Amino acid sequence: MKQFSKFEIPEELKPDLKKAHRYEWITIGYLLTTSVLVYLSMGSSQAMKTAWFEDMISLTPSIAFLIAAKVSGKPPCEQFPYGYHRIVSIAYLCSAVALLSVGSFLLFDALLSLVKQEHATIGTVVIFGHQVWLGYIMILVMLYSTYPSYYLGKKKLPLAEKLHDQILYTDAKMNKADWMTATGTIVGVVGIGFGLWWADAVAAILISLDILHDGFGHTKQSIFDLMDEKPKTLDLEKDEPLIDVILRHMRAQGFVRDADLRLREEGHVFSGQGFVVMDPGGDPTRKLEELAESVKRIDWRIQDFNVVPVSKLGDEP
Amino acid sequence: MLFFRILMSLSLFFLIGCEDFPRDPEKTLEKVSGKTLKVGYAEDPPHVVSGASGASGPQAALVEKFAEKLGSTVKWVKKSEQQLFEDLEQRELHLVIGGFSKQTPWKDRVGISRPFKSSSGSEYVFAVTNGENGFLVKLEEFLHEEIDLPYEGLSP
Repeated sequence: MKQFSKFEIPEELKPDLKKAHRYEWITIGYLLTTSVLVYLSMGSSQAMKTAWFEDMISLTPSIAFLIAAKVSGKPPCEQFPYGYHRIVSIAYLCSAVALLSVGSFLLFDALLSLVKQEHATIGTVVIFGHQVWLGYIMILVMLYSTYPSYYLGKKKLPLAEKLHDQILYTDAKMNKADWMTATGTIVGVVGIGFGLWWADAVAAILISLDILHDGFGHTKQSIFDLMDEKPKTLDLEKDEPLIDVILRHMRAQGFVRDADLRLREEGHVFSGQGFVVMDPGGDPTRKLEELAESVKRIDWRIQDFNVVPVSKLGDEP
Repeated sequence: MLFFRILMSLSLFFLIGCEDFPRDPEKTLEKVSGKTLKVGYAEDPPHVVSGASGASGPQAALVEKFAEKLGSTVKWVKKSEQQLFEDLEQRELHLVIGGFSKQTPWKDRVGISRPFKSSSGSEYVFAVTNGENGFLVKLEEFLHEEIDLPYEGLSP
């Protein structure tokens, strides 16, 4: 029985992983400062309360990423013979649920304030002896919530693709949710300034639909991953192309009459089995071991792969 | 990026500030200016006491002065606190006074002004209809000029 080897990320991806870590720490620090500022400028505005709550939830993917990164690299041991990769799938689920809850909360809250016809009251504050409408302060704070989030999200997306990291990908979507919500709040506060009490809620509803779309998609995918669904690309659009590559590789072997495989996603990496119908003769054990090794060399993400000899494939008679 | 630049300049534009910004959704300021300011009061001696022609006392005097500034005449309405706040919520009153502190349990259902200090040092607020930000800002502006408002931090 083959043991799981210790997972090592390829040398050339290490700088990217380091970068991802840095961005996540920056995100956490940045979100904490925003939440303090938002809390201070909240007043009695429901929109700002929502924004604050959202800031707190949007910390989830960053924290999940850092915890998962710490745990997932550990070598397998007697208690965890399959290694620790699955923590990534669990952290992905948590991040996706966080994204989904931000969207649902925003939508629910906005609908409620529309139904109750809540008119947000925004008064004034005194800053350096000048009386200022609190709405202006809220807009400034929300501006601080837009661009850095936008930038962080933009930086994380390509890293997530390279590192094949679903948590990072979800976190990039969370950053997108953040800057969109902040923009919506600005529109809402300006709307309130013009006497349109409903502007806030309508902006929030439109934005929440986009967040819900991402949140729902990723929650579904993370559950499917835990159910060992066929791996998908990070944007959930297509089947993972690697599946075809491996299949073609196996079928191209001289001693293989026919082959099939199943693959599942375990965090950053894939594991699975290949099934081959072999031509008789030779040293089957060695051939199969070599085939398994050569499959693993196709891509660093193939963490574990066993090849099983079978007399026929699937439903063939 | 263009999007953000537009956003920035737009908000800067607003920061310069127009005269009638923010505005009231229900146009309270417009409705009371030069007309009648309906003020509900609950007695809280010595700040608000019942007089011959409505309320008197220092907080009532503030309201009279505010009305004068708007060119309005005050119509005093005396009711129980419960009734006053319900009327305010229903937009039947414009302003409610009565020695309320900023911790008033009604603060989620009506708008409250930034607190101002009485001579004894306690802090009081006036209540307005929720969301009438133009009127509220006008009121706070008046209070700010009239009494030296204590610095309250960002969260009133």
